[in-house]
Amino acid sequence: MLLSVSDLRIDFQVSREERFTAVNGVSFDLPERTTLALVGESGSGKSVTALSILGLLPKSLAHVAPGSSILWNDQNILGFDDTRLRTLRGKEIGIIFQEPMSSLNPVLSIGMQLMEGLRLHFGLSRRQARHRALELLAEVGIANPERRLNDYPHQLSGGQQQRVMIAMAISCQPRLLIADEPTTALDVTIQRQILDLIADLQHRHSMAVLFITHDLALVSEIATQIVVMKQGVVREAGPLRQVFDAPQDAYTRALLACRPPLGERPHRLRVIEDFMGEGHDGVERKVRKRGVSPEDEIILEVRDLCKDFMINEGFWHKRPFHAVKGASLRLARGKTVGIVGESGSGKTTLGLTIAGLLGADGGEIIFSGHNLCQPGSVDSMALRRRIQIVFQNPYASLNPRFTVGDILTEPLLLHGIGRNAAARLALARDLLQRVGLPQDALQRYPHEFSGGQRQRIAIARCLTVKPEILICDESVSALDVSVQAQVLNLLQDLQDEFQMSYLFISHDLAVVHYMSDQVLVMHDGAVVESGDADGIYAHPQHPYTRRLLSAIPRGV
Amino acid sequence: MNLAAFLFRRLWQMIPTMLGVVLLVFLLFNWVGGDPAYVLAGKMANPDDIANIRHQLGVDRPLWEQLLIFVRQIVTGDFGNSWATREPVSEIFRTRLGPSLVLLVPMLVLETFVAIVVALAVAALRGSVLDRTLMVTSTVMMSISLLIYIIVGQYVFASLLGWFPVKGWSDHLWRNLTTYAVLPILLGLMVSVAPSVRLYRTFILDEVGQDYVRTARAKGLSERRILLVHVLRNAAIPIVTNVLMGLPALLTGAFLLERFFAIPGIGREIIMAVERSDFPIIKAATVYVAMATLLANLLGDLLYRALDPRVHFE
Amino acid sequence: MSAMTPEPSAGLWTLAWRRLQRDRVGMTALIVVGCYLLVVLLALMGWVATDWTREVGVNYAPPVFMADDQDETAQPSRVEQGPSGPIPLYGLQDPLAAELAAIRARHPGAQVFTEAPRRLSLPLGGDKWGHDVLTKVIKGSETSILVGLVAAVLATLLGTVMGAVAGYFGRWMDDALNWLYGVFTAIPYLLLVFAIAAVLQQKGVVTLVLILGLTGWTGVFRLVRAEYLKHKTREYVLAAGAMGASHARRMFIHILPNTSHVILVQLSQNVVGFIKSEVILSFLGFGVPVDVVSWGSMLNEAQNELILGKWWQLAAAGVAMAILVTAFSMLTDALRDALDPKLRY
Repeated sequence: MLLSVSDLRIDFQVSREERFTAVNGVSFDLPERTTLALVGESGSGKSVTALSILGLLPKSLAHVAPGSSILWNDQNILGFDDTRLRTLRGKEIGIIFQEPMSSLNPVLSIGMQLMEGLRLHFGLSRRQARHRALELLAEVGIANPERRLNDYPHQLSGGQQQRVMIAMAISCQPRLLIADEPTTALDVTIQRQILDLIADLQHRHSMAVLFITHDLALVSEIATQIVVMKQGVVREAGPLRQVFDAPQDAYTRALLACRPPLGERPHRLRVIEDFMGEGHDGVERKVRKRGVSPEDEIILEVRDLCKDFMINEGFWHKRPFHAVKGASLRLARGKTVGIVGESGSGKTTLGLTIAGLLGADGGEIIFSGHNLCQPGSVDSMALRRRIQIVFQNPYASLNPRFTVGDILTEPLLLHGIGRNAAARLALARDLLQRVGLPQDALQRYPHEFSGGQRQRIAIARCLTVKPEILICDESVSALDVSVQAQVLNLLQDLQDEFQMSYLFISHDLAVVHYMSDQVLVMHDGAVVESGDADGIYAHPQHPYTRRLLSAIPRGV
Repeated sequence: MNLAAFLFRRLWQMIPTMLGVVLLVFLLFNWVGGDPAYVLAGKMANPDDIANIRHQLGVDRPLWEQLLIFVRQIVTGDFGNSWATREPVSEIFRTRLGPSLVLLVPMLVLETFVAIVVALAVAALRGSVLDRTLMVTSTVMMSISLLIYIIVGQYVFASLLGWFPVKGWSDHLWRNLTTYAVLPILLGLMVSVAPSVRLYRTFILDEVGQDYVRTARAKGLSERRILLVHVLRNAAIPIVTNVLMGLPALLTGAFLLERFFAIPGIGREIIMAVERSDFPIIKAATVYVAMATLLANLLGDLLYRALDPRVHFE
Repeated sequence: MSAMTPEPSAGLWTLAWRRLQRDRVGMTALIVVGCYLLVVLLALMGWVATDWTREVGVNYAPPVFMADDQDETAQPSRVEQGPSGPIPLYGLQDPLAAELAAIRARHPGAQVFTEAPRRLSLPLGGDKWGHDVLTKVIKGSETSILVGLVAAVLATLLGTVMGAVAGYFGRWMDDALNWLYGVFTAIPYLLLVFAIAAVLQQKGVVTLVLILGLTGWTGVFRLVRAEYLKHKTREYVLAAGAMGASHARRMFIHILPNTSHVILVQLSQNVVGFIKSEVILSFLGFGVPVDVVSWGSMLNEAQNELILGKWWQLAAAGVAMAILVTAFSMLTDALRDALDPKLRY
């Protein structure tokens, strides 16, 4: 056995008195040349487990409980002294992290960072190390390695940075590669390339891989063994097919079910509670119909919308950067238009411009018969109120100094809804109930709520002004999959109830497919394809759309 | 974008700020301050004297004309004569610059060096008893007034123990550096090192918390190499900027040191000028020191850009 | 409303206060600062240190703990050695005797020139004229702390408003205020203060506060502006805008409370900075007028006394200042930790 973790328990010192158990009795074995996936949502302790293997946890905060053991070739890593640990790191075990940008030293050249490990572990001369570094860069698929060697990390794209990280991790021919969420920060097409690269390298260098991820769909493509973790405890472990085909644990079953499937569109996504409850497997096979018919009332029409940002360039010049180049869309009442695209595609800019939070530089936004882009258009502010937006980051979208009551009653106060404070509070209480939060939340502050609950509060705030259009800008992207399903169900229910129209912006193709009647695919600020959701997913026309769709991990 | 164009642009951008400084000083002395003739003529002056002085100073002319005169003075460097000693202002600055630099330059170099070394040491031992003790000590040291250091230091080390001359200056650079400037420099360091250590320590600790340090550890590098190569190279960026930004603060410390130790530098000259209401000297000093500060900031910016590959000369 | 909630939940201020309470160094510092403020308050109300100008001791009276043992009350013979003792008239007739008699007749209650016996030693010693150093330190603390506090409030207020406007509105307002910031920071702070002190011929506590306050806003401005730049694009502010909240509401109801930790720490730092500046200015004679005592003016006198070996005034003023400034600095650090927004979530 290459690596054998048994009864690992790690406590974190939260404050002087408080301790928090991040990992509680985790055991698993990793044989040579296999890929083991450690799967779990945030707070499951998967990354802490991975870091503890290399002794990378801060010593002052993290305490490994006695009785834990991490055997590397039958030697306990936890008993290694610093010198032995240093030869383990880099030489025997390589690691790559989630954020390649911050994981590389920003002020040292790629070459220097690559050669450093080679010279340390193999005692190579500068020339030899340089030669080897060039080979490595070529091996991980960096074009023009000679030039890249002198580049700094910021001069590389995210995908290239992760390739460099991989080159660094494998530079000393390690027998184990730990990949800690290596593709989470990357776009889906890049993710595909990185996964292929890791699989290829593993094969060629006969390494074992410990793959840490939250994404079950990914796991099925790369792993042979799987360990499912929740709150520091292993819920289920075994060979991939066994876990996927016949999950024994309710939590594993829930995780597998709550991602929106690409093939079909259930009326409601299944959530954790459906599984954790008593045995009943709330099978709901009702399928949701999607699509727009010609009779649907169009309430928002965007024509040739353009948005530029000015970039300072050179001496006096400013160069416009075209963030959105002539986007058009039609949104029908009670329907959803999904906008997909990778980072930098302009999808968020488009959403913010429609919401009126950015000024347009061309084109028209026609809502209720008024062009919102026209300066001083009739009651533009009053109209804009009917278009609301739910943002991505649940931690930044609520004012931390307001109670939930303040947050919900402020819009009512601003628009003179409700006779007095008591009436407004009553309205707020109703809304809280509608989004599935307890009554006593009114007196609490945002920091007391989880990410999913905060998104519910943000949604309730939008509902206060009874919007006709809700723009969801990556609104569920920061949430764990199980929470994601709950919020998506809520959005769906609200649409059914209030006949709101949604602009659903996301990089997550599966989620967009589940939510949308029509889809807009954006790339480099332009809409490359748009139309009926099922149509586009089934028969993509544009090459970019095809590339995007083929990159989706289709696990399960 | 090359260096020359960058420099040109930054110098160009300095002009509005410099004009602002000129305007501020002008308004202060020619408008807020009232009629300088009364100051100059003393309390017992008769109206004829005052009118005469007013004419000489040009303060009987309209404000805009006075401003023009002021701008001309700045450009030509000719601020006339000191009101107190009749010595040409330009001559005063020319001769007083040397002693000020003899004091300032070693202080700057030593302070930076000592502060970085101590900050690295405490950052390496972060959380230890030594770290905490040093941090508390530095807080206490920072809280004692510079005046106390100077008064007590001068009394104990010069008057009582006689290790150093109480005050004085010579014409020889070496003799000044080894005899007269030693105590002032040491006392100046007492005050300026503590805040720098604290600041640099936070710069270094900020970097220690970064992801790339974890990567470096994962590569198997020693803590020493991580601190001295990876961390210091990053922390150097804010440190260098700060050294040059902190120059004005060092300057004010030097003012007091020069006065106490009778070092014939610019600082002592300025304090004497304020005591004697010697306006030409104060005006010239303010404008030129501001100019020097802006240039120091530019230098800091240049170094910052040279050290950080992420920014360019744009 | 509150009747419905049995226990209202803790807001960020409450949480910060709890964190501060757990910080032993911070709480000690807070108590020390509180004691100083209490003394200042008492001195302001005229309950302690009423008259520092009274010459209650002999010249350079040593502190009690250094006095030659026993006798505490002064012998008249020793008193006469002082310059302000009764002047021997050598048999000449007092030329003002008649007037003195007239004044005495008009104000029968008034006591003119009745020398109370001077004490040989004082709690913290006496100065050149026999003023009680303890009284002077209390009075000096009042002046120095008040100047520091009021100037800091003024500077912080100015910096906050300007920083908020510049950061929030951007464009030409930002350009204009940034220009002003550039101008004020181009001149080293103390030099600017010197220049203003040189121009303003009349000295006074109010002048001093104005000088320090009107020049010291730059640090607050820079940080508050940066905070506003950061917060104005935060989602909660955007959402408020989408709800129809006015600019003023977004600036002051939404963003301001979220920058308050920066402002509070800056305020606290400014107090320390201004106290130090006041001391230097008053020491050089550009600060408080001669009839007002401050730590700076005490140090000025003490400088010459030290040469004669009379160190107690220097020690008293120096220690009083060092303790307050240390406590204030530690309080600032503790505040920074307690209010750290990173700890909120």
